[in-house]
Amino acid sequence: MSDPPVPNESTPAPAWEPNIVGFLCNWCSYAGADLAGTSRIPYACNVRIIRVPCSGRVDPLMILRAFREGADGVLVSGCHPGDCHYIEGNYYARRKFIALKQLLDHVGVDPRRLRFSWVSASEGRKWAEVVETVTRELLEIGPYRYDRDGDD
Amino acid sequence: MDAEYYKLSAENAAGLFERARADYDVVAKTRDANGNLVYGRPVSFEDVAFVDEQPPMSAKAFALPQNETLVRYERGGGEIRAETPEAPARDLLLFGVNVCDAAAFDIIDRVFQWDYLDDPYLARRERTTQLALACTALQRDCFCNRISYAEDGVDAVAYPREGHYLVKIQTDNGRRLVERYRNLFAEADGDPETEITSFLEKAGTAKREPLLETAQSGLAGAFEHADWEILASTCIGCGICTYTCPTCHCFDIQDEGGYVGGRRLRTWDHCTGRTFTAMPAHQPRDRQYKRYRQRLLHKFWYYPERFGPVLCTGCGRCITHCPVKINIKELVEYFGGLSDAPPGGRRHAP
Amino acid sequence: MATIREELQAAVRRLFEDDKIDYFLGYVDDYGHTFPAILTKDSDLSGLTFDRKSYNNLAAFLPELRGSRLGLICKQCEVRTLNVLAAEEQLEREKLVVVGVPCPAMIDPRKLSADEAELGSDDPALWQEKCRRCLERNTPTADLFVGEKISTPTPAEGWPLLEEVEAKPAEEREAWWREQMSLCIRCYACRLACPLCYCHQCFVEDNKPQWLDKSVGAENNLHYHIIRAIHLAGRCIECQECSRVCPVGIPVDVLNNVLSRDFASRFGYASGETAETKPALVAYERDDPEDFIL
Repeated sequence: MSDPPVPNESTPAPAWEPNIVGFLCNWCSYAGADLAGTSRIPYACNVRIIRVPCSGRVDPLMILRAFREGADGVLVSGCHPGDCHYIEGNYYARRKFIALKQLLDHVGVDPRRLRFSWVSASEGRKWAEVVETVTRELLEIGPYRYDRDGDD
Repeated sequence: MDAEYYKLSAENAAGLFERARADYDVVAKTRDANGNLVYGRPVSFEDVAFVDEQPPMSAKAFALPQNETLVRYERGGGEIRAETPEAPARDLLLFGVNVCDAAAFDIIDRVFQWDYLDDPYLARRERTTQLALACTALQRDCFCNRISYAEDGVDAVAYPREGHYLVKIQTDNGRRLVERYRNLFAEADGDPETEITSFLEKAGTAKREPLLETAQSGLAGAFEHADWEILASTCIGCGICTYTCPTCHCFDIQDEGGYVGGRRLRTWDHCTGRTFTAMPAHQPRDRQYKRYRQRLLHKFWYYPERFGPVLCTGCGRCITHCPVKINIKELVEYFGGLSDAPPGGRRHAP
Repeated sequence: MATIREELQAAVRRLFEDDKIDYFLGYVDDYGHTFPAILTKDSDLSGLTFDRKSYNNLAAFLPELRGSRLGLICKQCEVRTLNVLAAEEQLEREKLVVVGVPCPAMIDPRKLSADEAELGSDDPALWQEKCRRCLERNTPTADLFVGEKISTPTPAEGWPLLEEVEAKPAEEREAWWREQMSLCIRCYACRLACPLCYCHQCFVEDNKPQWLDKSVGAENNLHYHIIRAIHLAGRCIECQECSRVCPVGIPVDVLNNVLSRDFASRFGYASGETAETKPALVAYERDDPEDFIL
């Protein structure tokens, strides 16, 4: 993996691109991302999307595993509160995310590496904006490397 | 070889440490960031802790690391490249480690070269020299005085005296250490063997009623003893006793990585855990007390039967750090028929 | 006057004689330690005691003895644990005889010197941190109380170690945790000593898929500890057993405390206070905070 880019106005394209893993719920955010595509809305192509049935399915383990496998950032997206296909899955998810976020903040992981969003099936434009924001922030903070001394 | 005896003045001990650092990777007792005692790599003699107290982790990791990469692979350009990590580049000196930790290597050497030669272990082991420091007093949980084997395989043992150390050299490896820094060592005067005997008596570490000779035959008949269940069922199955143990050496092989690259490694594993051996087959010991019994009998019955020494140096870490304070020495005495009183007075229904 | 030791032994003897219980879960002392023991009617009860080294949370042994009629010593730590277990429908309360004791506060084992002179001291600075926060030192839910009730000092506020870690700037805090995590040997004693980690199969044992690498290293270890803390979010009753048993001295309960405090302030939630409260992660409010969501 290359070094993080040095911020420089004259650099046209950064040498390093963040790897972002996106966990998107099947019913809203995945459809929203689909809409962004069919509407030809341009946005950063850094997110690798994993479709899950519901944001409530996203176990903090999956998020940490994504980091362990080399993700620089993780984005979890689901239906807006009240719109969950399973009525309340995203409410439970929200509490889990509060817990995970608290802990990662506490142990000093930059909070911008783990983002959550509510994106509905009709919000193609919002999806594009969310990805743009997350990508821009990760470009600023650079690659994620926790101490990898477990590798040897 | 016959033992040789030398004197090392306190001043020269510091000199030895400094000079050895140029030739060896020197490991000694020191304090970590939390102020806890550890085996580490102190950079100056002042940072070396000369205390009887043991670090929670024994020194075995220097020959048998908790993670050890066996092979690493990488895929790319239409081919797969695999490589075995190289053996350590430097000799290792275990400086001032506890005798119980130093003694462990010679005991587990036997299993690592009994049939299959374990290259990664033996490569590290071959480059290891031990200069152990004898304790001045027996601690609450340790019982090296009850293990007949504890000192024999150690390269060199230093006994602290007034203003100097009396150093006993027991192996060729130890002799090489002295020869390398010969001008720091003086010939021992007087009768060093008697001096050591009285030192051990005073410290309480002199041998008495060794557990191996006295308990092994009793243990051989105790496998089905009804009290195992009561006495060992508080075992929670963590890995503390085995991971902190200087002689426990079980491991697991794991593959990490994926399509583009990865490694095969071995990691410590422990027979007291409920998933031990679950990977190739299943865990044959369905209750926790049976897993504890396995650990104890392996150390005091199966291993000596096969290899000679007991798989224990009496360091007592498995008692000190045990969350439920199961006491292996008391259990060996009880199940080996040396004592009628089970620890804590607990007994199973007759 | 009878000592607590004598009273306890007499009470347990009666429980066995009256055939109220099959096992008694208590503490015995021997070879300089006080440790948990599972006693039967044939056991010699002379080792049975309750002192300031009765550290273990005895509720951790309940799964092992499920189905038996059981007596157990409950200090406040166990009382709270039983409440959580009841809320999670993991408790056969009708099979338990809860033996209450006046808890004199446990002495932090890391502050004990070789001669253990500290055991006679009443200096709260020597107590385990949880004991300074203790709300009730007698067992309110006891079926049978042994000894004389004692008064509970005003509980201390706050989590000193957590606050100390938090006072560090983010970078320093990260370095500090990385250092702590690199010490971890993943013996899993923190998980196994925990009375609320009762899963038959833990995520660390899963291998299809294998969520967590078995190799140790700061990152793998951190991920283990974070998930462990999340699985205890809104459940941890702060008995500090995880930290006490750690052989390398990592204060792992700090991670649990982060969530305990956060859940208390966000959701008004205190784990283990009643047997009715649902754990915080199996409940929700429609207006839970979501300022962090894009």
